[in-house]
Amino acid sequence: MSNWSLADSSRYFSIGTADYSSGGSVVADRAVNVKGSLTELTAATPFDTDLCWVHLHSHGTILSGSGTYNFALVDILAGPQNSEQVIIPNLPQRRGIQAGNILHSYYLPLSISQGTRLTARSQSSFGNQTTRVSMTLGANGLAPGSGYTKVVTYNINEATSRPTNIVTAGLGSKGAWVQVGVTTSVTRAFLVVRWGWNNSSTLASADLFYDIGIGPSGSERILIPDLHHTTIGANGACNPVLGPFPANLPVGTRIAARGQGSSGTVPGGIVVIGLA
Amino acid sequence: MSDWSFEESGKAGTALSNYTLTAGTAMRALAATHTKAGSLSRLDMLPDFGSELALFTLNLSAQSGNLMDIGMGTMPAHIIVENLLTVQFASSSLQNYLFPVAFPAGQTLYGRNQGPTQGNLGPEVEVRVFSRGLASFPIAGSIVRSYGVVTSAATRGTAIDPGAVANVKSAWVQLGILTERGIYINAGCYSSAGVADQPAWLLDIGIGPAGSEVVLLPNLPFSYQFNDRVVQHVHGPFPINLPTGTRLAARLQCDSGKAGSRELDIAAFVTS
Repeated sequence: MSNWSLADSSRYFSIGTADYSSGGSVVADRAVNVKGSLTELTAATPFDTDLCWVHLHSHGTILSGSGTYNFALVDILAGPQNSEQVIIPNLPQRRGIQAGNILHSYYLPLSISQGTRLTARSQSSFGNQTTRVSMTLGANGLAPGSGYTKVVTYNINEATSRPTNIVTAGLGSKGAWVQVGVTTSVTRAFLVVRWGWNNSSTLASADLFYDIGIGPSGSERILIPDLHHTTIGANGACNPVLGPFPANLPVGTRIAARGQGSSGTVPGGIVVIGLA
Repeated sequence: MSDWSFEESGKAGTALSNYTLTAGTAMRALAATHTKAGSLSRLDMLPDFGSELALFTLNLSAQSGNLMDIGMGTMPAHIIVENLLTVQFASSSLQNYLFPVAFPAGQTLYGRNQGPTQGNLGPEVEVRVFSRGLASFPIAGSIVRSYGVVTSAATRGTAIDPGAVANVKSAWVQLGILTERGIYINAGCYSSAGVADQPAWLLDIGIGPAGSEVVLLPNLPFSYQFNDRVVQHVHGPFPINLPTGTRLAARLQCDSGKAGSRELDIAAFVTS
């Protein structure tokens, strides 16, 4: 007899995926830059979990007119009806400017108790659009849980649904450091998202290297060098979510970013999602 | 003085990046079509610290369908990560693979590539390594094996057709049998068909013998990006605990029943 039970393996389940093959329950915005109403992803999680992926999908979002951009922010909430609390705030999602699908998948290893009701809501810079939201949740077999209890998103402006712009320098040199945020919680890991700013139909395709740095203005030190992103013409970034990467940053740490591009100056936002 | 040192944070370093061009290091498809070279070529040195997390970035601008091996050590290098699959269609296509796999400090990296056209340039590759500091992933492995990758007479994953009926899962298709204990799995879907359509998919990864598969990872979403008209996304790493000999399988559903749009290639990468 094996001394290995399949039941010892990590267990996973998905929520928000039952109704549609494109991978997500429909979560609708309201007016421009206003949070929409809640969509229930599950009434009760079936067991305690410490692994969590959130998948945001723009399938079916078709915006007319070249030069139109549409940034969305998605919150994940936990709790019974009328008592929901945000546990994952403002996950960025960039929607297509033309007919197209864009998938953002975030690994956020939060612990969520059995029986938790999970919901989602969104806002966007365009308004009255939809995002499809699903989650993969799991329990981690033999290995200890991550112990993360909090997610903080930096460089998000809810009033515009957008991040602060960071313009890359051209070939061979980095642009200026731009503040992404100041940590409000001890940050033990973080994800990095490049958010396409491609509201120009003539923007060239480009390869981009971004440094993530820490420290006061003028004295930044590189924490992670040269994360590679790309843009493809006017329609943005491929695989823009990177991480989670390890960190150990105390409260009050200033995070900044700078970039270089293969095709001249390229605008775009860098969003850091901290795990505490 | 703070009792918090930045040095206690995870360290990060890169190899194979070309800062002048904002690019990686290109590898050619060597030897015959759909065939790897017998040995690996020296590429670069890793940073001078040990690491437990590695992000491989492959950027492909032509010749869709490439498989890359990455090795380390001294010649003959041993392969640490095998058969990293990249596809592209109309534009450059960036693919990231994140593996909790350990690299000692200062190791020499080697690589080789196979593709559809002899001698043509394959993907540019870069690797970014991270020492853990405080852990994001509980443990690190030492090798990454691929399952479902076709290396003979083709360069691709395992083709799955979800069928003409939309939103219904296909039959299970075997990806392979684990040759080592698995502690993480990454699952990827690929297509470079270039069809001007917008399907989306849900992928199940299962374990168990044929006819008795159990879903391990349910409903991983994948999408077709219109402008670059390519599907290329890898989910994970997902922590697992699977013994040697475990049979891996996959099944797929699509919201389009249109032939030529609904089919995808699947591959899994297991860290041991």
